[in-house]
Amino acid sequence: MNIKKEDLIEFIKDKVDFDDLDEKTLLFSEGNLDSVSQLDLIAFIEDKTGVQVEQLDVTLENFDSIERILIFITKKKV
Amino acid sequence: MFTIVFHDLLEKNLNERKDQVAIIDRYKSYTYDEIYLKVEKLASWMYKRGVRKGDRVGIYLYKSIEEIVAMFAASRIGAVFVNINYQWTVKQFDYVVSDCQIKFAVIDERRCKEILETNIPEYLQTILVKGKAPKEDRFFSWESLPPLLLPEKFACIDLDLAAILYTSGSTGRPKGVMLSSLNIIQGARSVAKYLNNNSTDRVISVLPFSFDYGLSQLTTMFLVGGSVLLQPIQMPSEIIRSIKEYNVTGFASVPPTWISIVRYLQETKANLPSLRYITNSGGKIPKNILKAMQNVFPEVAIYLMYGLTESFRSTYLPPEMFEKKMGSIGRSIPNAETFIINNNGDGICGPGEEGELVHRGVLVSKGYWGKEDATNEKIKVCPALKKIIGDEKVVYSGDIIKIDEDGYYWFVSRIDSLIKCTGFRISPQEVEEIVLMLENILEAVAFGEEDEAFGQIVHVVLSTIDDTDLDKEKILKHCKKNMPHYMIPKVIHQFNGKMPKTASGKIDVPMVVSMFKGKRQIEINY
Repeated sequence: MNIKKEDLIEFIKDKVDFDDLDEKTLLFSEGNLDSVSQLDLIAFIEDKTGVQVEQLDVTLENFDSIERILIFITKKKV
Repeated sequence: MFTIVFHDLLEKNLNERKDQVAIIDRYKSYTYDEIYLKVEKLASWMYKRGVRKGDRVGIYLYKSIEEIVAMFAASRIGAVFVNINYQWTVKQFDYVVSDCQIKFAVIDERRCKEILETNIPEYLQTILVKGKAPKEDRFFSWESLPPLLLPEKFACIDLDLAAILYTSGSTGRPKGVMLSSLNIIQGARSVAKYLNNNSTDRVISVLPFSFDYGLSQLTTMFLVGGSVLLQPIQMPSEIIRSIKEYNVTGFASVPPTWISIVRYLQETKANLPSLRYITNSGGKIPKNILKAMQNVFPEVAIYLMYGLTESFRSTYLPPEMFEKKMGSIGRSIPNAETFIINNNGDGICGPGEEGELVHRGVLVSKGYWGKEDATNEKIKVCPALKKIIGDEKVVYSGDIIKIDEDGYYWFVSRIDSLIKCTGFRISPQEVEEIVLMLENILEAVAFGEEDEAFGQIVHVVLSTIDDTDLDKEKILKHCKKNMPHYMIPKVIHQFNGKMPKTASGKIDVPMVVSMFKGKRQIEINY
């Protein structure tokens, strides 16, 4: 029920043509991912980690980079 | 000052409110005067680079002040702006560039790298990069634009082409819908009228400007001297936060966004005191969400609307009728006339009947760029209306609409196979053509499956040469490179053997679709 940085990189690269994606790349605030990929990403995270993502959780602070997503998941599990 | 051409939408505000905030982009605000000066500078340089009246200027940017400046700069010298959805891939950008022969393009650093790897056509003489430009011929950096002066005004009339907005049809690749200044400005007038827009309004712009619905957020506000807050991030939390922070009065969006916004508001119970109205177009909102909207948006006027790019907007439901006629698309907007034509095409439907909606009036666009046949198929004389309007051409919507006893319209279905995902039109044929580029794919049929969140999602049925197994990863990778995200098939089905054919030898698409629609992913031996 765990997710690694590599899993997220792979998942995102699978959906969108991304040359230089790392854990700090801004995903949404620079238009790299759109609203459709947003929904897919959330479904993937819920699937892989068992974490329930609420509407309130979906903010740039929690989702705008892989680094932030990993922090968010850790916090949610606590 | 009178508003005649697109650029007038900006200029008309210089007398009364030049120091009023017009655009807010990422915490930075720009007054009408500041925008005007930026436009003059860019327009002068465009002119120096050889852009003349009627030339096409491509704008391939993430929602930003620069996107807006580029639109007005093109209009300032009588050129035609062509916004390309930032979600579109570089391959699609290339397609638009060659389809309408773009002479001058504005892009950002991120797309720049990929564009450099393509074969840039000779007629694309200038590529202006928002950010750092590579040391290549034809590439320039926006930051290093020299101060220049423009020659006096250019004589343009309202019928001159102002913009080309690309949209998918039910067949083939996207087509460029040609809009004159008259189309755009009259459209803004009709909308501002029924929304009761005035200079105290501030709309939040979430929808792309490449979408006519998105563009009208800008045009209506500039028409009445209001302001626009740019919000490119489609996260409910971010949207609600900015509505509150900037005292937004109006919010336009499409069904998938309304669904997530409503769910968000149900959870957070946020208060939005500044919000006066919200609008929906681009599809149907599910009934349970419509009902919930009344609760999460108390005292907000809700407008359900309907239209197609080829005629901008056709109908709206007045907010006071929202509860009584929940889900209806209403009746004709000001300055547009709609008729529902019966099956035979020779009569007008009355209450209780259903047929195809046709649109008449000044909002009828000039047709598709470079596609005379397709234009004549879409915009043509209606035999049923000859007695009333003679040979005046109307737009055939391709939608079946029902009229109720009170004369209100209700959307029934599409006549053709166009798929609509998150408000974007997707041509099944385009999906098929792109997938068929792959070597081992023999036949392809794409169709839409209903989905509450997305409207419809794309399914594709494929058969392979030699009946080998589908390499789904490879297919998706190929799609990713050639399609915007919303077009990428969500479900891939394999068809074993060859697909059934009609008498004329074409794939029996309805038969294939009926085998896979509404079912789980299964393999069929035929």
